[in-house]
Amino acid sequence: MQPSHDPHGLLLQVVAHDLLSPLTAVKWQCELLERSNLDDAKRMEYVKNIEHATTLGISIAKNAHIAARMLSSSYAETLQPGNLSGVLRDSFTVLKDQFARHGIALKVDIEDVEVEQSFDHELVSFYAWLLGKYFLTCVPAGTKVEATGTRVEQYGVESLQISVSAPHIESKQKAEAFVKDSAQTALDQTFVFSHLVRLVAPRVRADVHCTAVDDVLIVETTFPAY
Amino acid sequence: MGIFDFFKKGGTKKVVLVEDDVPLRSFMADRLLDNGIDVVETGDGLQALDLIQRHKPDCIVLDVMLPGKSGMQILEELRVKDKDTPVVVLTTLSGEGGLRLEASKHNAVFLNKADTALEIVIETVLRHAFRD
Repeated sequence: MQPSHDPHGLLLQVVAHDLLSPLTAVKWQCELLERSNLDDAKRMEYVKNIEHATTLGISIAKNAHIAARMLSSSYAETLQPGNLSGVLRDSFTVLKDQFARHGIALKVDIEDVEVEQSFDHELVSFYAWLLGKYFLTCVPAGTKVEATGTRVEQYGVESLQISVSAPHIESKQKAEAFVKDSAQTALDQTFVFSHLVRLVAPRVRADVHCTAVDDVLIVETTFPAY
Repeated sequence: MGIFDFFKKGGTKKVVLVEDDVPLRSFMADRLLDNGIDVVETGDGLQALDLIQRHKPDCIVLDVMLPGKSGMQILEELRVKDKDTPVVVLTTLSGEGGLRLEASKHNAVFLNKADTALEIVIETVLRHAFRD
C-alpha cells in the first residue's frame, strides 16, 4: 500500500477502520451471548460491553461527520457563552474509555479558567477528540497520557492552556512529523489527526504547538480568555 | 465430546496473540484459555517479535493495524528466521486482496475479523496450533 497524501480520503479510511473495531466487538459479543452455557453475570457483562461498543461507534461516527464538514469547508460555527474548561474536561474524560481500549491510561486535570468569549461547544469537543486521537495513534499500550489545563499569560493576554503529553516515545520524530503535510506510510493515522488538529485549532480561536522535551511529546493549545 | 476437545488431545499449546484492541483481544484470549491454550498477549507491535522469540509459541495471531509496527512487518521479519510457526493474520480492513496475497506469500493464514465468526477464528487458531 502506498502512502496517500489526501487527508479527505485518509480520514474516510481511518474512520472506517476505527468503526470496524467496536462493530466487530458487538458482533462477537452477540455470538457469545447466543451460547447457552452463560451465567447471568457473564450475560450482563456482555450486554454492558455491547452498550460501550455502540456508544463508542456513535461517537466515532458523529466526530467523523464533523471532520468531513470541516474538510469540505461546509462547517459553520455556532458561538455560545459557556465554561470552556468544563467542555474540554468533559471531552477528554469521555476519551478515557477509548484510551483504555488500547491499554493506554489518560489522566485529565483541567483547572477552571474563566473565558469571556463565546465559542462553538461542538467544535471544541471535536478538537479535544482530535487531540486524543492524535495521541492514540502515536503512543503504544502501557503509556500514560496526561491532559492538563492551566491559566497562563500569552502575549500579555490571560489564556487557558491545554497541554497533552506522553513520555517514552520517539518524541523528537513525532514533533517533527506533527507539522508535515504528507503521510509517511499507507493509512498514516497520525498524519490525518495532526492535519485535522492544525486545521481546527484556528477555528476554535486557539494556537497549537507541538514540541519534544527530553523524551516527552507535548502538544500545547492556548485559548485566549478574551 | 465437543469439536474443540479433539484438539486438546495434543497437550497444552501456547499462542502469542498480538491485537491492540483490548476488548477484541480479551474475547480471543478468553476463548483460547477456555480451550486450555496458554496465551501470551500484547497490543504493541514493537514487543511482538521479542515475545515470539522468548515464548516459542505453537501459533501466532497477528492483527494488521498495530501501533509501533504493523502485523505484516512483523510477519516479514519473523519469516526471515522462522518459516514454520503457523501465523494467523487478522484484519478489519477491506481491500484485503493485497493483504491476503502478502500473507500467503509468507506462509500465513488470513482472516477478516469483521466477516468471520469468533468461533471460526478460534477454530482456525486451534487447528494450526495443534497441527503436528
